[in-house]
Amino acid sequence: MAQVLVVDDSSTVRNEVSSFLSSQGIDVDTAVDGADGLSKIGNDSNLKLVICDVNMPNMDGLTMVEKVKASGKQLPIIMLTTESSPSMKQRGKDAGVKGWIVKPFNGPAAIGGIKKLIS
Amino acid sequence: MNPGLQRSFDVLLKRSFGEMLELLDIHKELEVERLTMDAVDKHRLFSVMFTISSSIFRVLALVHFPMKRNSMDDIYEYLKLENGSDIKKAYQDYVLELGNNFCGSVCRILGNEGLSTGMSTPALLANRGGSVHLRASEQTIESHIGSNFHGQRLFSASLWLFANDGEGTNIELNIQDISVENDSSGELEFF
Repeated sequence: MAQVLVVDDSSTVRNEVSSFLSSQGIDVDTAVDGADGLSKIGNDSNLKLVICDVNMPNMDGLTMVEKVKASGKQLPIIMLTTESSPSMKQRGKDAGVKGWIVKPFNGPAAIGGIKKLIS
Repeated sequence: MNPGLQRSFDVLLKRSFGEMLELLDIHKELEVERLTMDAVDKHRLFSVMFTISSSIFRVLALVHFPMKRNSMDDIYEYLKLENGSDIKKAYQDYVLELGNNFCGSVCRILGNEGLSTGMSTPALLANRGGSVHLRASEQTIESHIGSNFHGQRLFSASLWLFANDGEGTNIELNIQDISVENDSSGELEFF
């Protein structure tokens, strides 16, 4: 029954982001890679937002986004990544990504936009 | 090799390393110093390696981490890692993410200079009594930097640049030793 799914292969990032969002009263679930994320998205119809890394083993973030979009699910997805190049952002836009955060995660700077997306 | 490149490359390393250290709560207490590769090797137990590539050069980026048994409790405390059975795994994950941020900073600074780059996923290199046998040749630029906390080496980092044309004559870098105030890291950019 989570509102936000955080998908990242780094437990450090999963803990950091989910701790911050929980402190803001947001219910959070986590997934360890794109394949795990895809499975959890399929099983939780209450999700309102996915925050996803780009470079991950098993299935990368942008492939996961493409698969979610191909399934017809209307779920906003934002990327949280060290990738900041215009070409990578364009790939994200083309895949249907709603927004982009360059790591490191800055909770206070991002929370306004995140709340807007889940409201 | 273009002589101006060495200065820009040193600044690139200093700024990227500084941005990485800012992720640590103790960053204001850290002393940063230039190092030689031999000095890095002396304290290095393992490294996280990335490769960065553009159409005109490749960069090998390594962040070196200490993991001496007698100092690890201190390091876990500095990093505020919770002590538990999986603490080594948590430390490894933490340093991979630090390395990831370091490499992201290198790419971002190069991007601000108009150079489009791609970066690899990280690889862990264990130091089993050996050293990183990469030394600058006429075709390579290298730079090394380290941080000390209360007189003890914490993290260090190295960059090597390999010009695709061998000489680097077409690489124009003029990286300034300043922080970019309008850096939008951490903010949500809507599409």
